[in-house]
Amino acid sequence: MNDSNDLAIRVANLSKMFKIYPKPSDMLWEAVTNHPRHKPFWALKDISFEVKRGQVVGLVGRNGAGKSTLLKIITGTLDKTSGDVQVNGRISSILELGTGFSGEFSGRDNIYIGGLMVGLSSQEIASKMDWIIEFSELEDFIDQPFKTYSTGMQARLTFSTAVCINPDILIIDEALSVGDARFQRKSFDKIAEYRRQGHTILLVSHNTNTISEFCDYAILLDGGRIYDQGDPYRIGEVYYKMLFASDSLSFPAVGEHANDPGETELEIDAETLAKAAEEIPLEAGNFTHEKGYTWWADLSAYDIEGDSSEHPKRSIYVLCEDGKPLKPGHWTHEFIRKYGNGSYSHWGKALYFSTSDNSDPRTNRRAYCLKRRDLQKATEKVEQKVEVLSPKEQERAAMRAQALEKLGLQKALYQNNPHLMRMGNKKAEILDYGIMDESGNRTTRLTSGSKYTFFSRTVFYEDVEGSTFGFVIRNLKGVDLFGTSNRAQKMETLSRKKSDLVEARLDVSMWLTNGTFFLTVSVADPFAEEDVQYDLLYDGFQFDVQMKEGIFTTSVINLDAKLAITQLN
Amino acid sequence: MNSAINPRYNLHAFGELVGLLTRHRQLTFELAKREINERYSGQFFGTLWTIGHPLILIFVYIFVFAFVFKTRVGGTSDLPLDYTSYMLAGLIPWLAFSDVMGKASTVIVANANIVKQVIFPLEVLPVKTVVATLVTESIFLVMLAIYTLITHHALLWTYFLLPVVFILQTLAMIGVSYLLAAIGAYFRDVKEIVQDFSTVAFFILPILYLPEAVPAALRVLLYINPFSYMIWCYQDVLYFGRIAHPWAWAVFSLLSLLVFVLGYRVFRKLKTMFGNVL
Repeated sequence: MNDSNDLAIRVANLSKMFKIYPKPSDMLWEAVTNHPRHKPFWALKDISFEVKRGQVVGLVGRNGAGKSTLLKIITGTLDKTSGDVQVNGRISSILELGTGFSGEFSGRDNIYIGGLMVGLSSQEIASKMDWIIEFSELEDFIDQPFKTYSTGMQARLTFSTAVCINPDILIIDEALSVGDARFQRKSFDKIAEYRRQGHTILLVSHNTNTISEFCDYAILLDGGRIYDQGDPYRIGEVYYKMLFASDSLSFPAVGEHANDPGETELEIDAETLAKAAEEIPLEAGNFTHEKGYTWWADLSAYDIEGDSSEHPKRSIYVLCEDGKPLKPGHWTHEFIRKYGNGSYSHWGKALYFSTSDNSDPRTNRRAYCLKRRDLQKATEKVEQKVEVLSPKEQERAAMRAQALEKLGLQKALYQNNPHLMRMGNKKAEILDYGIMDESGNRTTRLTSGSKYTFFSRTVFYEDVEGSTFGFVIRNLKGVDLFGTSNRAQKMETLSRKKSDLVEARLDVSMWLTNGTFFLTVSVADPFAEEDVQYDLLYDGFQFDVQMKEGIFTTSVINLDAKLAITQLN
Repeated sequence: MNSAINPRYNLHAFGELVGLLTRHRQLTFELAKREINERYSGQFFGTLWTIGHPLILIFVYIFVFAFVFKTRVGGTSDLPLDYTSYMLAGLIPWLAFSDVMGKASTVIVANANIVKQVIFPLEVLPVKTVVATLVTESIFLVMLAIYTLITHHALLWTYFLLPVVFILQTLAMIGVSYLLAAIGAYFRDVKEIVQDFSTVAFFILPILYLPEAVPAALRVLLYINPFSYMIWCYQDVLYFGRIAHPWAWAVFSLLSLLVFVLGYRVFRKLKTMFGNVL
């Protein structure tokens, strides 16, 4: 076929398993006894894609998605477990800054050795030396030891050396992000020139702009699988969504752990988990049945029995697939697939619950696995328990039902969004929240310059000495753009009684411009020295703002400007 | 097991390795140079330490055995040179060999970042430590030659055979380096084992004493130790001035070639999986 000649890289059904040994000695025992002692960790599973000659392909994905593993297999520094990888042409890769460069040696010596390592002869290197030094703009430093270089200078030398060998395929793993803006520009110009000459480039970047600007094609990896591939702009958006969807905000550590073969995630065995699951007290309505699947229970929003301030939360996630425990990398993938896109999912469902641990709930979450069968067992028990509510729980359920009825809701609004992150001691519950336009209609599409009302409606389950209602707006990058509360506004922070239902309204003029934003609503104790939330829905509400024409599209805020131009002579 | 000794596979591997090393000789020498320079960079005496350390060791041995224990060797037609020459003839190659073994067992781990990230002939790594060590060894051999010239007023004719034994030793060192480098990447304990082995093996080698001085019952240990044969060859060249141990030459040649090829084959087999353990 003529086609195969046009291909620079062809990857078919590539999988990579790392064997994770609990102890190094287990590796020896396994070799001696032939009895497996490792746990398999699939860093890559069933990856297939093709890169045509002259294409610039972007690879995106969160930490631990498998990008580096994939690049290493393509470059040939790591072996594959199964599948097929074909590479047509000479590869040069920049996987890390200054790899193979020695700090003690001068830049010039390092270019020389670096060139020899990638297979150039000393004559070839000599002929390219001046070009490399010139391109890297290190003329004044080239005879200084490499260790004295700044990271930017190291990046420049690494990039210049790698491109000088004129490879057919250039693989760049984020090395460029270190150089200053001008050198980045220059590097990208070089990349563009390479593309024109018909070279192939595989580029890893966290910057979606880079991907959409330079790439012809993009591949999004997550949990060792190809999550999506296609048009770079669209992939960039999916990736952004993945990064900033609230569930990913809550589990930053999972992916990193997942990619670390040295660390085992399965600290709790299935039996213990099943037992633990039996222990969880539940309220009615806090889990949902999924059609055709074992159901997944979202217990995150609920307390372990007793005052949750004594049980700062540490959530444990249980994910399962038929007969096989899943690695944590996979389940975030699944959540996004399911709740980010609303599409079909063939993976198991998750059950997560809290244990007491004095750690930040957002950074210490981890995924644990449980077989589906065990999960079913555990969840059946849990279902039975639902029938038996303690008097306190019954009272709370009654207050809740009453409040919901008054608000005209079937369930609390946040329950529509099961992967939402919720924090607080649950002395109160925010049942309803959102944004209304001037005529009182709920909306998620706002127009810059118009007036809106942000609101939250909260039911109190206990008597509290004070209450402050907060609103925070964040952008996709998680930057706080605006926030206020009645405490910040020096307003009264009234005490509340059990079963009080309170509405907080914040009238705003929307002076943000084009973009997607998140609203966080909270109700908190105004007197506590540190933040004590009764309830907080982190980035619980997503909305878009649209700008009418009239200002530059790059504007971040709308200054309600009136422009006047007068001829003065 | 059959494939391990099958001459066809071994010949093929031999050709492959020789071709590979010839192709990458520039890189190998450059890396060896770097290893020598890097180790002592930033120090006042710099690379002088490569000579300094073994030199001090040699003086200690000479002091202890020649002056304290008053070991007397030499002066007869059987034993033409003095004790110092006898000891150095064995000590110089042994120091080089044990140095190579120590470095080889960590060479992959020490260069983990290159191994993981650069598309580059890994086969060069163990060889460059061998080359670096050979440089030091050569300097010592020259020093021994000068010593012999001064004390004996002439060089032994067997010095003509020095290149032969030197090459055989190089082959053996490369083979052992491959073996230790490959296994050392998986079992980091290899480094420690090698260290202890070197210490112990040194004393069951005919370096400090003549084999005849060993009780007959224990003498078998010398024959079991494969390094003895290398020592005997070197002693033939540098001390005896005749082929006093012809069977040692046969055994050493055979062992060197075998280890050279087999070590490389083990390395070749295991290198694809280095990325998993680093």
